[in-house]
Amino acid sequence: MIDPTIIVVIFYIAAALSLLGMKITRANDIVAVLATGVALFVVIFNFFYLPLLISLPSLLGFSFTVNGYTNLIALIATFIGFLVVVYSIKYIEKRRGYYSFFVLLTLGSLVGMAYSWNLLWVFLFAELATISSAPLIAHYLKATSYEGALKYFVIQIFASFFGVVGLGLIYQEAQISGFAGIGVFSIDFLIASGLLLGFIGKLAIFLIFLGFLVKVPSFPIHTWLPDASTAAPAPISTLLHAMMIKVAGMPAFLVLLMFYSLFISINFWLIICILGVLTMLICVIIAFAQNDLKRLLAFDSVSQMGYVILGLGIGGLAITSNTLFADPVWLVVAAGGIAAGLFHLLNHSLFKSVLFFSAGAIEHETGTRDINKLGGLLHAMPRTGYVMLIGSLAIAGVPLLNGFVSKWMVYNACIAAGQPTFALIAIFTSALTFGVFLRMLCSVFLGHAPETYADVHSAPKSMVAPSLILAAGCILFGIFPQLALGFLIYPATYPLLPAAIPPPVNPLIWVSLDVFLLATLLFMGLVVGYVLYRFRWGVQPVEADDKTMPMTGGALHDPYLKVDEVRPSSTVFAYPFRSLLNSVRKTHTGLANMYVLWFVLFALLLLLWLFLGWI
Amino acid sequence: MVTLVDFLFILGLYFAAIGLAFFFSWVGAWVFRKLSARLQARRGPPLVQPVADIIKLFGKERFIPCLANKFLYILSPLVALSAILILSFMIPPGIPYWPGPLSWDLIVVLYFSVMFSLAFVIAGWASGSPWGKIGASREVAIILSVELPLAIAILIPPLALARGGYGFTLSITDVILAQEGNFLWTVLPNWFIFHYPFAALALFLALLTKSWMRPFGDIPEAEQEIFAGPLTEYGGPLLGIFELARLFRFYVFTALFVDLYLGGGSGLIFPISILVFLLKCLSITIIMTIIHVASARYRISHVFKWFLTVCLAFALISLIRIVVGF
Repeated sequence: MIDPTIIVVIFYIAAALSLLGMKITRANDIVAVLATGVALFVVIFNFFYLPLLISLPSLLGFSFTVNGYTNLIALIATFIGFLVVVYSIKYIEKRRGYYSFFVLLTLGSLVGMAYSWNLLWVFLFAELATISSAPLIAHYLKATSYEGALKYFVIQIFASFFGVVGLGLIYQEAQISGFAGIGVFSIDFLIASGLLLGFIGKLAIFLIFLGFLVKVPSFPIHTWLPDASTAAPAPISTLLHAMMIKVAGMPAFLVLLMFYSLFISINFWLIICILGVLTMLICVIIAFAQNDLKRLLAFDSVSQMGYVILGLGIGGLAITSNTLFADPVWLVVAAGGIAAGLFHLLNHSLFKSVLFFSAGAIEHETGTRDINKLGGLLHAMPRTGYVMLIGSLAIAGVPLLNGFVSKWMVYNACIAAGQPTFALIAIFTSALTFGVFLRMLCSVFLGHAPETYADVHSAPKSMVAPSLILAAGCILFGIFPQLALGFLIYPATYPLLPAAIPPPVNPLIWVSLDVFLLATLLFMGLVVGYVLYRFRWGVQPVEADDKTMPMTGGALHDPYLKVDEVRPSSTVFAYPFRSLLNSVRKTHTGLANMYVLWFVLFALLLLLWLFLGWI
Repeated sequence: MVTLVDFLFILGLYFAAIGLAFFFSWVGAWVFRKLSARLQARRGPPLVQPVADIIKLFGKERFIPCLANKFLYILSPLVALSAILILSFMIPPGIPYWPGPLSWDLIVVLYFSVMFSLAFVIAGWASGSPWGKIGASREVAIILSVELPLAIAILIPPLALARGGYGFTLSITDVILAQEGNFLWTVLPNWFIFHYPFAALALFLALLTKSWMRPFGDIPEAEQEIFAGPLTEYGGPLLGIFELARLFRFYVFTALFVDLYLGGGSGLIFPISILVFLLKCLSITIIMTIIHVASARYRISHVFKWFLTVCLAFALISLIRIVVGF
């Protein structure tokens, strides 16, 4: 076991070094890659000690705990962080300067946040990560990037106000009972001492939940994410989407699940599930109407986080039902729901970083992100194209890719918890995601290549390699989900289940899906088809030009029809949702003031419910 | 854990299931073609015709259009065939305790039916033909509009079982076994179509559309507008593989309907149950054919409108009945 304090210290020292050697680009790269590589190694090494739940003595006053859950979150942070740093080498060649410094500072804070088991430290690291990532979003120093960074910053700071109030209430409760010091914020201490069992404690935890929910983000307060990620350079968008919203957002659900005894109410968990369902459905419909590649991916990210919220909400619902009805079946459902949520979290960080890395490569080579202007890039950028194909199919939940397994687990958890409606909406959302990504893929990679992009060539190797690794991960976890579930997800699920649960509760019942056999049979089908295709039936393949010309009925060269410029339009798909889209367009004004107002109204509504005793 | 013997057994079963499904779909395709010909006052083909057409295609020359992406152009028919073969293995053909759906549930069936359509979409776009692109866009639109009613209607029987005290299950075999016996003073068989007629109607409409039959389904391949849609550029063995996959579709989707809502082959002993199952499938095919021949083609926006209002309402009536519990 290696103390995770070392990782945080390494990151901060590396950040300081890159600040010193600001002018020397090569040295900066080496320091950043080394620091993230060492951190990744430490986290992977710690996985071998996992059955032990260890609260470490604090070296620098941090209170770190290494268990399955914290290690999973830290793995996501360091793994994606490592790839982001490698990707940045070629992507951000100009004006590096402080870039490396802020990236390393953000990564260090996020790793510290992932390992913290003390609410105060979680909060402090979250604030440090927010502050150090805002300059990264404004990296291009343009009006739009300032706007995105400012919007991000204002909304985050506003949200952390709720966290401060929550922490203050906890400290007040502790002082009344005669405790003092940083130790009162430790999660273990708070559970053991029962400090929070009154209404004030419930209010405090709920405020902290609200503060972190913005970072997830959930539906009415998702607005900062698309703007920030469109403004930021591609590696920073990846950093935001693939790890930051997960590492910084998960404490919201961590506090809810750890202090589940404060929220023994079916209504409360139903509200969380409905929040997840609304998030996934509405944001995927908004993603339909986007023409900017990164905006489309960003809205889809929010929608995918809906699955995570839904899975964890079902987990909480099942824990509550277990407490109310004392039926051990609910514990299995709880384990399944939480495992589904965490697995989708992991999968989303894999395929969303594939997509953002590829989108960055496309923007780097062609200079545009408008999917209506791009086309036929599969010939010019084959590796990026196939990688993006895998990522898109995985996010759409096509069988034998990882997204399918985690979505299947979410549906099963919903139906087992007696909430089939949520499962059905999630299935519908999955189909809509499929439509969004098919439109994007077909329009960007297939079809007609415009003249302007005739001399586009492949992206540099350091920009393609990270997405190749991640796409391989998508396929690996899709065909052998037991690998991820056994080594990463179940160890992470146990610490989130109530301590009263005896260990024999076996969530392995949730791996009843025999994906490997399915893959074999599907492969058999492909082989049958290929044999049918390649078998010599006594005729030679054609080489003649006149037979391989497209069958257009003579319309290919008709200047009036322009049939070779056909591309999928969003209007066909957006048409049935036009009234919803119009109202969304009216409400998404782009003003940070407005978005903060949304957040306040949302928080007031939930707090009103809390005070009325409804949740 | 699956041992090697188990694995070989499953593999043998897989090919046996494909053989059976091939026979069923051959008969289904012939009934479709013969009946539509008779309804249009034509003579109609002999029984060998559906298969003879496909064999003829395999005897033609192989070529790849100059605008196509070679890899995806070859891969997509193989994916279509592979997905439909898996589906025909998963859906029990009237045999009690069919070992096909080993651990896979109805959600997997749903996803593989989407994967089958996905192959057509990729084919249309990879072939580089404008007609292919338009057809593929329409196919995506159809997938989106059909998906919600289809998902609700497919999941209604297991949800009804869960509500009725059978416990949590999503397995097709459980749904078939639960449909044995009679109800309503032993007048009617205990089929889900009598318990949830509206959901059955929604599933029927969705499957009709997914089988590319009118009034909604043949929009992607509307001959008068866009030649053959996604398959415009295909020819030779690759078109043969697509046509083989479409042949299987005549069986797979009707079999899904029969298993979920018409009792499959439940309550009968082994050889008779298969025959009864085939007859049920053929009767569904006949109804689909009559609707296909008798109706005109709608526009693509009508599909959205129909499936996200009328058809969804049908499915929701049953869902609300289950959730509320009466």
